[in-house]
Amino acid sequence: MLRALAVALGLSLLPQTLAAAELKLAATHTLEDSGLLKTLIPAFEAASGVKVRLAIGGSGQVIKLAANGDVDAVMSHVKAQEEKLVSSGAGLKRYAVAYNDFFIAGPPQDPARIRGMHDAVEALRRIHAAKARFVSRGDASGTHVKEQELWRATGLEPKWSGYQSAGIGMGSVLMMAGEMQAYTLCDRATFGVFRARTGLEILAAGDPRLYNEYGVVAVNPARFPGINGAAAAKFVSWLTSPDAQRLIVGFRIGGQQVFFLPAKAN
Amino acid sequence: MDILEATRQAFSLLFSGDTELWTIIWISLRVSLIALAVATPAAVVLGYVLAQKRFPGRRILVVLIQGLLSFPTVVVGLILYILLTRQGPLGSWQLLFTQEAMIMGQAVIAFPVLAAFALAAVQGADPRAHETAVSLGASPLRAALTTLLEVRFAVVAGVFNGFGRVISEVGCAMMVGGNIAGVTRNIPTAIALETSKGDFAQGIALGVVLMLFALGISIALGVLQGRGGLK
Repeated sequence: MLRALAVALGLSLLPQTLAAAELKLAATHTLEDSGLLKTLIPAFEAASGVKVRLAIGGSGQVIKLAANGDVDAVMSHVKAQEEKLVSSGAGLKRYAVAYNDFFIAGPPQDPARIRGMHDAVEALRRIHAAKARFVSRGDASGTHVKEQELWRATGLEPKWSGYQSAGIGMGSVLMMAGEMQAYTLCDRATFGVFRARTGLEILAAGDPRLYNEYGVVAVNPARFPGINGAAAAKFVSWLTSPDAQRLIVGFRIGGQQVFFLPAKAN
Repeated sequence: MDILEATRQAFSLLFSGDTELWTIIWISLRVSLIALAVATPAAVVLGYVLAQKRFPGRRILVVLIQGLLSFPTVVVGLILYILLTRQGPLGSWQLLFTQEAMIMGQAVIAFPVLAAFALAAVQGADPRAHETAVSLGASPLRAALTTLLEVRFAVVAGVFNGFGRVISEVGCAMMVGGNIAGVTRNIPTAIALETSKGDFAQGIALGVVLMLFALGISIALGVLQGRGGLK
């Protein structure tokens, strides 16, 4: 704690000397809440000698941080937005890092009777019809973007008194859904961490539309003068290296593998 | 610049009567005003008793209230969360993530401010008001009301200060309210959310409203202090 404080103070006093060995990384809630970053970051720091400073937010926010040149690299899970970052010139190239899946979690009583369903859109229709409680991330995060896609596919408006738009991170939404005995859309990794604390269960899973891919993009140093391009390049190449991939597939929550390698490993 | 465009959008949101925006403002006002209405009577009574009566433990209470003035609001949130969660002692009330939980939190946060102002006000009151009332045969309750009426501006100043503290409080509101749209999303939690989404227009619009509240409070306090000094 004291050391962290001293480092923080030192950084603010000597930005020039330490900046070379520091990477500002923005990443999404689900990567943080699942604990994956706690495995990856120290390993990268040890391998490269680069210190990482993390900013955590929803995908909408972290992409914005990258687009504004506020960070050196970004990890998120909305492929379309990551590609837009690259095509706008603010990002260099998108690499797929890992994937898992989303599913609909809910209370064991399952008032909308969706247990065992594979069709996520049909499951949402049933939740809508049952006017059951549903907690939405509501924060423009990757999970929220996916949820909105699914609602569009149902052709229904997610507007009833039990539909609550929370505007908080994935872990917090799971805690809230547990409190309210509500349904929610969740990624496999964060759910693994919070399952026991919330008492929620995986009810509808296995829809190909629920594919959840994480990508990394380095910010273009030619676009923003303050960017640490060297550190970002090191991070991207390490993250797609066999060393990092071993850590990603070896990462376990409650004995379960929760992240998988994308089919084409770039 | 982006800031100019966001600010322009913010003002058009404010003046176009955007329902979402005004709902947030309404929830903020409703929660904070109810919290003050709940906390003020008890806090004023406590402040009055601490100023007028001498009893064992009085010093400790005074020190405690002054200490609570700077009590971290997130700790209030934490304690309330633990009490109200399903597994908690008050879990059966099912109040977590409701406006009622936010009101409870804000009442607790405002209480020491209200009590401390009432205490200082009564201590600073001209003792002759109380003495006169008693010598004219007023009951203790009547004498207390006379004294409080004498220092009403200072007590109301406490209410304004308490309002200023709770209307802009984000930690406890976020923790026990949960920032649910249309239910527990108030101005501070909405600003935090909009910023985290990278959508600055609504954040700026709400920030403007919050600053107008703050300005209004300080003007009202200035007026009250002027009145209070004229007595």
